[in-house]
Amino acid sequence: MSITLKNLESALAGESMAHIKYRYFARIARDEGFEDIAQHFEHTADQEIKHAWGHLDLLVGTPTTKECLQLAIMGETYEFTKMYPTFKAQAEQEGNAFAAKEIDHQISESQEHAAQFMEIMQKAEKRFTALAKVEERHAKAYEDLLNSLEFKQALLGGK
Amino acid sequence: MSETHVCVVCGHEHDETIEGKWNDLPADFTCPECGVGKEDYEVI
Repeated sequence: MSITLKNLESALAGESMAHIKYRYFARIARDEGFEDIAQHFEHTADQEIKHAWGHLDLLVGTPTTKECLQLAIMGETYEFTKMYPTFKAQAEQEGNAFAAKEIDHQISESQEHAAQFMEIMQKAEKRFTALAKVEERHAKAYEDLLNSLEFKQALLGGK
Repeated sequence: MSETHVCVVCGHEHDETIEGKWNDLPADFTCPECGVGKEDYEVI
């Protein structure tokens, strides 16, 4: 992989992490009664989103909705089949039962997310297929109208 | 047993207990809301 692509992926990861951290920090600040500091964290967090989107734009471009769903399914599937199972085994090796349990929870969440995206995609495919047929009928109806109009005009012109 | 058929696009429902048997509808029946054909309804 090109070094620039790798850097873009690292930058995306970094900005995403900063966003999540600032949201977390904002919650802490708000709980401690520092509303202005909480808002500052949130404001910065929002800017990190824009930075991350800039990186994503270069990394994935603008995929179609269907491609977005496929990317989401791939990402979630990677999480519950590869990433989290590896992390879980390593947490167990270290005797960190607390982390292993939290990872178990993440595995089932990722599985659910993947299934939800899959369901949405199948539903969308069904809809697009059905709509394509409706549009075909519309086109046919316009064509019939056009033909009858031309026929009428031909009759009138013949008079 | 009566069934309810739902349009996959807009969710329009055809309830057999109110609107009669699905199979009695003509083959060229289309969804009154969005125009999809009978084949694009699902039974719920």
